Amino acid sequence: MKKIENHLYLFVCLLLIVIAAFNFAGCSCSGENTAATSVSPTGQAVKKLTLAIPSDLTATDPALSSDVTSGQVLSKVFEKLVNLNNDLVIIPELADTFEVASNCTEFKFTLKKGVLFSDGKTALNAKIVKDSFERVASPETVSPRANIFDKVIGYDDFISKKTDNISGISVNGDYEITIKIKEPFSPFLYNLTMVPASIAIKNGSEIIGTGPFVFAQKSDGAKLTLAKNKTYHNSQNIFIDEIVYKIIHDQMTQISEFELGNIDILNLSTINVNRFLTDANRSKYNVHKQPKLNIYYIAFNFGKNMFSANLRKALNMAINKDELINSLMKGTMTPARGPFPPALSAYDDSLEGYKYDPVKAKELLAGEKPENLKFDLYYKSSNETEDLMQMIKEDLTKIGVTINLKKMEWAALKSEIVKGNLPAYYLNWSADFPDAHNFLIPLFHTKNKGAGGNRAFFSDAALDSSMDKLESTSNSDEYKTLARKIQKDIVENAPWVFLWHEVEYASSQKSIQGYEVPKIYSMENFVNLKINR
Amino acid sequence: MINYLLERLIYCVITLLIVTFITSALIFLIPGDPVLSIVGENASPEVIKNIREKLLLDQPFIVQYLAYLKRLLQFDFGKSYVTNLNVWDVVKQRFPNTLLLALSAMTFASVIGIAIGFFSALYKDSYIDKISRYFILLGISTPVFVLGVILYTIFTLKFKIIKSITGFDSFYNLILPTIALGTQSAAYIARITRSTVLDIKKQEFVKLAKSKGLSRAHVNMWHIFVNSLAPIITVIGLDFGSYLNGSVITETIFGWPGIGLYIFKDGIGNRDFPVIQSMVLFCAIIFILINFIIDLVYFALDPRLRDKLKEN
Repeated sequence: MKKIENHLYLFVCLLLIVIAAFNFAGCSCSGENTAATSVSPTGQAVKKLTLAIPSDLTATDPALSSDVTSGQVLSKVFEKLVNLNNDLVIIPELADTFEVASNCTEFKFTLKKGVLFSDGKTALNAKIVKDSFERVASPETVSPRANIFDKVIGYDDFISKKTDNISGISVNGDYEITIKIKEPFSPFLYNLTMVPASIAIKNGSEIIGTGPFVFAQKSDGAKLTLAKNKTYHNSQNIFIDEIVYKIIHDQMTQISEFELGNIDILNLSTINVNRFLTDANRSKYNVHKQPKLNIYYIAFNFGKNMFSANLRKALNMAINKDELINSLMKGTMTPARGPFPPALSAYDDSLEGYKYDPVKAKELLAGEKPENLKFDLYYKSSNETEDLMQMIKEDLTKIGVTINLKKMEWAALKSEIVKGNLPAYYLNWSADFPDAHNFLIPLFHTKNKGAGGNRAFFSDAALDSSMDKLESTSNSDEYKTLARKIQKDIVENAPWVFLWHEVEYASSQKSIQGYEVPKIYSMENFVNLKINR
Repeated sequence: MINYLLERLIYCVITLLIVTFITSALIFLIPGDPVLSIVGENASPEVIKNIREKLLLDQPFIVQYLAYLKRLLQFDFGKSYVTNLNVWDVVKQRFPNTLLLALSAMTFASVIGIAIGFFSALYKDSYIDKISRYFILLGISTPVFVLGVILYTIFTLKFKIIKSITGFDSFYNLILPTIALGTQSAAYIARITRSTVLDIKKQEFVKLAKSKGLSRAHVNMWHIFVNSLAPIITVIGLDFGSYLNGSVITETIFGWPGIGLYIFKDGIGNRDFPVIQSMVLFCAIIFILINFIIDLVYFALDPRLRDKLKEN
């Protein structure tokens, strides 16, 4: 009897397990692993590049894109009139040639002939380019980058609906387009290298472009796929058939997937560079590095009137940047002397900036009231900032300054900073285009206080007029000299603690050839990238 | 019965109204501006103003709230501020993934949990019981993010039994997230099953059944197990409800495209108000539904409840 009972229990257990297994089987799809090599209908192996992105796209329309992840993907699908080469020089992309005339107020583009959009029917012409730019500028599109065109003649009448087109963009025949702007504005061409300035048309409900790839499968939250654009005008230099972007939020999971061979190129966050790139790994994979066009800084809120010039300078001298970079960030940063990163052509080698000098810093603080030597420093909570903030706090304690570290979630922190509610904060800035303008005007001009990018609410009339003059300077030598002078004056004012510039690291599988970390995400289109598997 | 159902329905509607009001009020009060997520780092004041007007964010709270309720009455969950996608379309795309993982984890947790708890109680103080108690202790105290990493380190990185951590192309990809998500629940279910079965074993009706000469298997199955189901189902139901609302940590580790990540990363991270409002409402509906189903299951399981309702 007891035996029968035992069998009965066993039977119940097995039944439950079978039900569970059935549940699994019911959910199964192919049973194949994602890394399996696929074969095209013609029998040739499909060259598939698999990448990881940390979040889903916020936009598939370039006009609506404002984040890096969307920009990275969209730069493979859409093209601009002009783009940047590896030396960050502006080169024609959809334009065949371009001319800058009349003291930087008139830009004339001759378009490439025979360029087709990915529908395979529509040919690129000057009217399409004009319509594309007007779509970005139109208030109906609500593009976050509508201001790319705000200096074009007729922009104001167009957005106030007095006219149905921007008069400053004129079409001369099928392949010539001229853009006239109100006043000389030297970085205008750089603006046109940004993703929102891509040339796009509507094809039914879809927005399509002329880039090397097209959307093959829209995001399902886990991945999205791009396929080679068969009508791409430079298709002989595209050696990839498919790009799969896996959406993986967690960097440790990204690293594990890379080690398993399920991801071909891995961008490493600073905290993981040394953990991942051990000597053993360095030989197993290709390692790429690229000095980025960015700056990390601590901004003082000038609206609060809490920080005297001496205090700001003392804080610049009190943080031992070299020590922090060597001990904590293991060489993934280079110390900053001013806002310009070394990768920028206007970078000034002769600028010394503030050297680590706690003794002099202490001297500068001699006349300060004790209550001014205590303040709150806000930062975005993340794994990377915790230890760093503690070390900065220790450095400042040595000169008698006490900071209370306050961490906040990014959306809340950004909103409070823009409202001007906080005294000091640790931030970073990445360039949209590689020009001194992008490291000066958004960050320090009075007109850009708050949401415009000037988070320190810094304002200096003399510097404002110098920056205005810079915008209208077309001679490149004069431009560089003036930009360097403005940088020097800003460093002298010390509205920030200028901390460091990032060096970006990436690793790729040995089978990947011709990969380089792009200096700016919008320039990368995987032309000439090869996979040898 | 119909009166009872109607009464429950009215309570549901009131609860949902309160949920919409509290959610809207909270997102209005918390710091963070959705427009700043839309425009990026370097925005002109005109662009910000244009977007703010278009999204009604320049209006007072009550206007925004009423506009939201009006939309809801038309069964419109709204469009995401950041992606411009219809929130309902995203839910339709992602909820099946969440449901799949929740069903899988709950089946795993229920089978393992009930089996361990039941046998552990039947053979109290034996080795089976001792081992089971260790499992329960370990299961309850291991956080999901630790278990997730341990699982993929062993099965994927070390022994390469499963070839990819992320993705959901094949059912192999479901195994690790299921175990990671279901283990803690399995341990809770085992604990509650064990204690309930131990209680019921001592009851008079069990002694009576045994004294009537019924087989041990029959008594264990139909007199002990069936009568211990009510509290177990409550635990399973509530856990299932919380899984249906997404499991952010599991989804993050295994790159699972469920609604948990959508709420936290896309919704709260970007202060995307329509996403937060609609998703909280959606989750509230799920919880209310689950509770309702649990009540109905009680009726099916317990004749005393049915009699009580008839008397009333």
